Amino acid sequence: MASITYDKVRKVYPDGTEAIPAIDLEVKDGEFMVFVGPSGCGKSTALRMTAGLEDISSGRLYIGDDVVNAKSPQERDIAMVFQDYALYPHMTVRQNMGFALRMMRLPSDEIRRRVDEAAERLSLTALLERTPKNLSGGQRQRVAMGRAIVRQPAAFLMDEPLSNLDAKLRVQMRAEIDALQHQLGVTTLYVTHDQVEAMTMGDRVAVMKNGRIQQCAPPQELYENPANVFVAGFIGSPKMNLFHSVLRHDPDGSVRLKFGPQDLHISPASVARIRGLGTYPEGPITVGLRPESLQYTPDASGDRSIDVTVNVVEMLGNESLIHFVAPVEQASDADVRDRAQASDEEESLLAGAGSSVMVARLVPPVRLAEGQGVRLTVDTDRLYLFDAQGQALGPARTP
Amino acid sequence: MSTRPQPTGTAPVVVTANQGPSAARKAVNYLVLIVLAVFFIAPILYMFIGSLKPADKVLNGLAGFIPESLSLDNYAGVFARFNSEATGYFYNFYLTSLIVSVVIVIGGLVVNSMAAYAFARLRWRGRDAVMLAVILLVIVPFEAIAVPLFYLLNGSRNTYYVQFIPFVANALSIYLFYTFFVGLPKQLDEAARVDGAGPWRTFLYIIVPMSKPVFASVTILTFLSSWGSFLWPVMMTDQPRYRPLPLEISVFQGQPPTDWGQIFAFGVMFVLPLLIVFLVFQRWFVQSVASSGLKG
Repeated sequence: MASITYDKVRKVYPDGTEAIPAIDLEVKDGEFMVFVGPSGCGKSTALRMTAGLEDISSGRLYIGDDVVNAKSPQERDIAMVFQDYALYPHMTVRQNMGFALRMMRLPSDEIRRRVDEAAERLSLTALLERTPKNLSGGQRQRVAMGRAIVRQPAAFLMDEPLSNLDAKLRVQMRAEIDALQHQLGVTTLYVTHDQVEAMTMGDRVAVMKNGRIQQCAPPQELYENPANVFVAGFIGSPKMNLFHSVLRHDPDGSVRLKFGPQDLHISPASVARIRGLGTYPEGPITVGLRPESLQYTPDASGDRSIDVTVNVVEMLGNESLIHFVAPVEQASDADVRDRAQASDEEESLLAGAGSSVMVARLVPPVRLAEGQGVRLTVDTDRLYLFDAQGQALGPARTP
Repeated sequence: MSTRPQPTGTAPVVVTANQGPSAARKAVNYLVLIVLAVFFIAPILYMFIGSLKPADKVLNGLAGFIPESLSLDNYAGVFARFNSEATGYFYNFYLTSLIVSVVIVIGGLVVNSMAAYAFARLRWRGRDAVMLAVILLVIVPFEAIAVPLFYLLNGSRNTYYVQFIPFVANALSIYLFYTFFVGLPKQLDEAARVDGAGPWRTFLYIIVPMSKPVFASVTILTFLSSWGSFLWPVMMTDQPRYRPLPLEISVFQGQPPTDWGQIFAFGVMFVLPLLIVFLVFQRWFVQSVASSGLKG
C-alpha cells in the first residue's frame, strides 16, 4: 500500500490540447479517492497517467516515495479495473485472475492459492472455469475486481467500473466495492461521472472541471460547503437551484436578496455566519438554494416565503419533487449549464424569459396540482451565495 | 360492373405477393446454390473419378463421371514415370513443395503477424509512412519484380531457400493481420500492460489467441499461393530435385504420350494437401470472412 501524490502533474497531447493544466493532490495511504466530473473533465486522463498508460507532460507523480513518471505500468505496482472490464475473452475466469501473477512468474501453486482466495471472497468459486462470455455483467465486474485484488497491489485504479451495469446492480456493486476497499485498506483511485456514486463511495471526492480540481473534500463537506458554483451545481440530486439576484444591506445588519418582485430576508445572525457577506458590496450576486431548503407552507406569511406556480409534480413515495416556475433568472454560469444542458434548455423553454424552473423536495410528500399557485418558505439560513467569479462566500451553512 | 372485378382481381394478387415470393425466393436461392455447388464440385469429382479409371475411359464427356473399372494403376504409373535421376523422383517434388510451402506459411505467420502488431499497436517514428509503403506493396504483382529478384538471387538457384525467402514477408498478410489487430479492443492491451506483460508477452498471450480467424485466413491464402507457385520456380530451378509439383505437372502434361488418367492422378495428389489445409482451418476462415463482412 502507498500514497499517491500529484505534484503539478500536467498533460498536453501532441496536438497541443491541454487536457490537464496542473493537478496537485495527495491521496493518502489506504484512502478511497473519487475523481468526479462531467465527461471531458480530465478525470480518466488523470487515472491513466497514474496507471502509466498515458505519459505525463510535466510535474511529478509519486507512488509511495518513488517518482514513477518514467516507470511502465508493470513497474508501478498498481491494479486497474477498466470500464469495459477488459477481461481476456479466450481465458477462463481462473486464467484471467491469475494472469498478472503468471506475468510475475509466481509458482503455480501460489497462483492457484491466491486466485482461490480472491474467488472465495468475491463468490466466484463456482465460475472459475467459465470464460467471460458465459458470465453476466455483474459477474464480469466481479472477475475484474478479482483480477485486481489477487495482485495485492499498492493501489487500485478504477475507471468507471460500474457504468455498464443496470441501476439495481450498480447500487449493489457500489456497496460491495466500498466494503472490499475498506476490508483490504488499499489506496484506491476511482473515476466516475456519477455524483451519487462519488458521494456514497469516496472518503474524499475530487470534483474536476477542464482538467482542474475544483474542490477536494469529504462528500458531506462538498455538499454542505461547495467551493464554487460548479461544485454547488454538480453535487446534489436534484441539483441546487442557482439564480441571479441583487443584494441589499439593511441598516439593522440584515440582508435582502431580490427574488422576483419579492425580497428574501437574511437575519443579522445568519449574515454573521457567512464570511464576507456583511461587507459584500450591494448589487448582483448568485444565490444557490438546495431543493430541501424549501418547504410547503400554504399559510405562511412574511419575508421568507415565495409565491410560485407548480409546473410538474414527481411523487417518489417518501418525498415529492415540485418543479415550479420562479420569477428569477437562472444563474447562467456556463459550468452549471455544462452539467445538465438538456434539462436546463427544457426548463428555460418552460419558464420563459426572466423566469426559471426550480425544484423543491418536500418530505413528507405533498400532492399539488400542476398550474396551482403555492407559497413556499425558504430556509434563508441555508442559502449559498457566490461572488461574480462564482466562488462561494462562506463557509456557513448549518445553523 | 367495371369496378367489381378490379378489387377481387387485385386482392388475391396482394395475398400471394405477401406469401408466395418467400417460398419461391427460397427455392430460387436453393437452386442457385445447388448449381454453384455442382459447378465447383464437378471438376474435382471428375478428376478424382478419372484418376481411378483407365486412360481410354477418362475423357468421355458426362460418362466420365461414371465410376467403372476403378484401380490405382494411374497413381502407380505416375510414380513409375518419375523414378530416375533424369526425370526426378515424385517424392522429391512433393518434398520440395511441402518444405517451401510450410516454411512460407509458418515463417509468414510469425513475421507478418509481428510486423502487423508493431504497426497496429506500438508507437514508433515513421510508422504510418512505413505502413503506407506496405499497403502500396500489396498492389504490386509478383511478375513486376520477378526479373530484378532473379538477378538479385541468381547465385542461389536450385536451392530450397531461394524458393521461400522472397515470400515469407508478405504485404497482403501484414495488411490482413493489421486490419484484424486494429479491430481488437485496445483496453485488452492496456489491461495486459497493467498486469505486467510487455509488448512481447501481450502479443503472445493476448493478441495471438484472440486472432485465430485471421491466422487461419492467412494460412489458407498463403498456402494456396505458395503451393501453386509456378513462375518463380521456373526461373530459379532447373534440377528436378528442387522443382516443386506445379512445375512437374506442367512438364508431365506436355510429355507424350498424354495419359489423362495419370495426369488426373497427379492432379489429385497435387490438390489433396490444399483440401486438407482448407478443411482444417475452414472453421476459423469462415468466421474471419463473416466478421470482416459484418465490419464492412
